Formats: sequence, structure tokens, C-alpha cells
Amino acid sequence: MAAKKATEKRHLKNGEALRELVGLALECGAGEAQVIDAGDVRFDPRVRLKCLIPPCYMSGQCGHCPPHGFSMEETQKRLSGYSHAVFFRVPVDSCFIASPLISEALIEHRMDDRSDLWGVGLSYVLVVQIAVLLEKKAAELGLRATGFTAGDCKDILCFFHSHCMALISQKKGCRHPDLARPSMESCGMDVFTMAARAGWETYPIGGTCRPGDVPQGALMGLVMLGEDNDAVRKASPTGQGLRPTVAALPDPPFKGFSHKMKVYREKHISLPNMLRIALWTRRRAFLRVMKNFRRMEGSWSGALKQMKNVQYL
Amino acid sequence: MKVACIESGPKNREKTKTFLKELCELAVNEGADAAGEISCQALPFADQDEKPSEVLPEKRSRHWPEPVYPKDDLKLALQKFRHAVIFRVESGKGGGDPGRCEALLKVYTIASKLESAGFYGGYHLALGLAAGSCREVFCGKEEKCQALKNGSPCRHPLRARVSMEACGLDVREIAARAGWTGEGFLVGMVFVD
Repeated sequence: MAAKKATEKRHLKNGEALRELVGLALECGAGEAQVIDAGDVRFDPRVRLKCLIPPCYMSGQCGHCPPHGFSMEETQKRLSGYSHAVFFRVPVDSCFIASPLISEALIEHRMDDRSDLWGVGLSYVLVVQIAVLLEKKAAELGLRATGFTAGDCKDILCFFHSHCMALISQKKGCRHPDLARPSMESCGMDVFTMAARAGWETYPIGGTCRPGDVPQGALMGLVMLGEDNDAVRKASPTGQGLRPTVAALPDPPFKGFSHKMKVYREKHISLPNMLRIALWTRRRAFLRVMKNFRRMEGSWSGALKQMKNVQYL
Repeated sequence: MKVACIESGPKNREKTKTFLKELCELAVNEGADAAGEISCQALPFADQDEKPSEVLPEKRSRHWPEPVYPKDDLKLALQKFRHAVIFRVESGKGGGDPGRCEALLKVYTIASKLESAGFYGGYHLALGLAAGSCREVFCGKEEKCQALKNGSPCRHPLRARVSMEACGLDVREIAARAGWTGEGFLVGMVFVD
């Protein structure tokens, strides 16, 4: 009887915790978020192949992207003890995500002269931030959490570096272990089908897609949640989830904001265009990203430090 | 361009059948000599004519003679598909013939177009396989495949792809399923659903 009462109490507590986490995701900039059962996370071995055949422009370039990263089997094994997940979606205007300039810029690894890539980058950073903040909050609530984001972390966090440090130096490791997380697709999750099952209208967007072809784009993220029990600890012994476990040596890409602006100018990124996007077209996302960094770091000075080091911003 | 919304449930069989026919037409319009739909049940796998160990290191690529995907089980993934479209392109004679290179490029291009049509048509896991070595087509003049170096990208992202034979598929047997026998043609395949 006492055990039953304890189980009920725990479930109730978790139910409240899950609602709280969904609320936080929405507060941090997600357009939609919902709790799903861990069993509803759909894995398909064909998903990772889509990164490799034909190779995506980022394939093999970062520690989390195929052929590197966590295979579908590794991910499934590590997540075996988790019971729930918060699945969230950040909407992105199709004029940005399906901009004809973006695919060209990404393949040639440069910024476009209208800063559309920069505008999309904001949404990618937002997905990373939400996953990290949910992980943090879940830990405070006594839950184990492992976050997954969208896209490749190198483009989001290390765009101006020629190589992913985690790949070229095991000793130095990832430059952003606090933010870098594997994407759902790089671990073999069938994000499109999961989103469709969640009732979200989802359209495939690729290099030849144009803004008028789709009503809206979206980026998805996921945070797996489980009770802090033996099963979860056994599956993920370090408690690090799927984060890069090697600590990074300080490797600041920019000495300061003025240096960052200089690099941007060299890369033909127009400051007026960036300001147009930050202050007008995507001002809500930009403000949300700034606030989320403050929430993560606990102070505006910490937030500014992160803003300086994240390459897209 | 029409982009289909992703469906949550299994695909309607009639709809898939119609779509496969459309893809066959597209293949022919893009320059294939013939195209046909096949079932992927019991996919035939076979050893390659060219043993991977016999290929010189400078001729290797991430996709040839065997794909370098250490963490992914290609066979398992391909066996998940149920329907595919195959197409053939007449090849030039001889190994170093420029005609062959041109024919190979055509296979890569058609595979790309069909895969793209599948992706935007609601089959987001559509996967195209080409023929031969991607190095022969795209990087013949380069010393090495750049993608084999840790942390370096492919020189031709979104274009280069693995071939049917490199995946271990028995190309002759699959071509025979479409009623194509004999020699003198290259085969490409696009898995749809």
C-alpha cells in the first residue's frame, strides 16, 4: 500500500515536472511543445543514410554528424532507461529557411550577402538553447535528461573554424561542450514522421525548395527524460547523456565584438543586413536568444560572452 | 515546385503505385533509356566484381569500392524499403572511355532528380544509388578523395553518391527483375518507400 502510494506520488510529481518543462520550452521560444512517451521516439536506420547518400555538405565535418556521432543502435541503448520526452518545434519563416541563397552559401561555406543564413542561424541557436535549458531544469527537478537538437553543431557554433576540434584533437575536444548536442536525425530519429504523428504540419525543405513552395519551415528538438534510477544510470553511466564528454580548452574564435565584426566584414557579411534582421525581421527570435543566454549563464555579462563566442550571432 | 506535407501513417498503396509510375516517366524524360518499378522484397546481395582489397588507395573514395560508414548497417537500412524504381543508361564501351564517364554522370544526375522528386513528393526517406565510382565521375583529376580525411567534406556534396554494386547489391539480378538482360548498360536505383 505504501509502495503504491509512493509510486502514485512520484507519477504525479513527474506529471507536474513534465508540464513545467513544456511550459519552459514555450517560454524559451518554441512554437509548440508536447510530452511524448519514449516509445513514440521513432528510429529508422535509413535516416542516417540520408546524411550520407548523397553526402550533405556537413557530412563528416563535425563530431556529431554521420559517419561520426552516435549510431542508431548506440542511441537506442543509451536511451533505454528513459520514459518520456519533451518534443518541441521552433517555426522558421520559409523566406529564410527556403531562401535560395542559403544552400549556395552552405555548400560554399560562406555567409550570403543578404544575411539570410544568419537569420536561420538564430532559429538553430534557439533549438540548442531550449534543449540545454530543458536539460538543466530537468536536473533541478530530479530527472535525468538528454537533449537533441536540429542540424549540425559545427555550422551553428563553429562556423568560422575550419575544423571541428572534437574530430581533430581528442585531447582538446569539443569547443562548446556546454551547448553542442547531437541532432535528432544524426542519431537515426525519423523526425518528420514524429512531427507528423504529433499533429504538426511538416514539409521537407531542401536546397531546391523556394519560399513560395512551403507555407512554413520548422526545426525540431527533443529532450529525453527519465527518473534518476538504476536503469538510466546503467544505460548512461557518466550522466552526460550524449553530450561531448571531453572538456574544451579555451579557444575563443573572436577576441571581442570588434574583432567579430572585422571577421564578418571579411566574410562579406553586411552589418546593416544583420541589424535589419536582428532589429526588425527576426527581432523576437533575436531577443529570445539573448534572454535564453542570460537564463543559461545567470547574468548579462555571461550572456554577452556566449553571444561573442557563438559564431552565427 | 509542389512540396507534399509529410503523412503520419503508412502510405496509401494506390498513391505509391501512381507515384512510382510518375518517377519512371521522369527518369525517361531525364534521359534514361528505360525505367521500371520493382519490389524490394528479398533484395539480392552479391560480391563485387572488383574486390575492395584490390582497389588502389588513391582510387578509393568514401563511397567506393565500399562505403566507409563504420557505424551504419547499409544492408539493414536498404532492406527496410518496399518499393524502388530502377533505370538504365546505355554505357560507352571500355573502361576509360569518355562515353562511359558521360553515361555514369547521367546515372548520377537521374538518381539525384528522382530522389529529389521522392523527397518532395512525401517520401522523405527516398534514397538514390548510382553506378560505378564517384571519383571516376567527379574527382578523376584529384589526387585523393577529400572526404576520406577526418573532418573534411566531400568536394561534391549533394551530387556524389554510393553505387549499387558498392552497397553489395546484385545489379544483374535486380536488372533481370525488370526484364533487362545482357550487357552494355549502367543501372541506377532509387528506393522510394
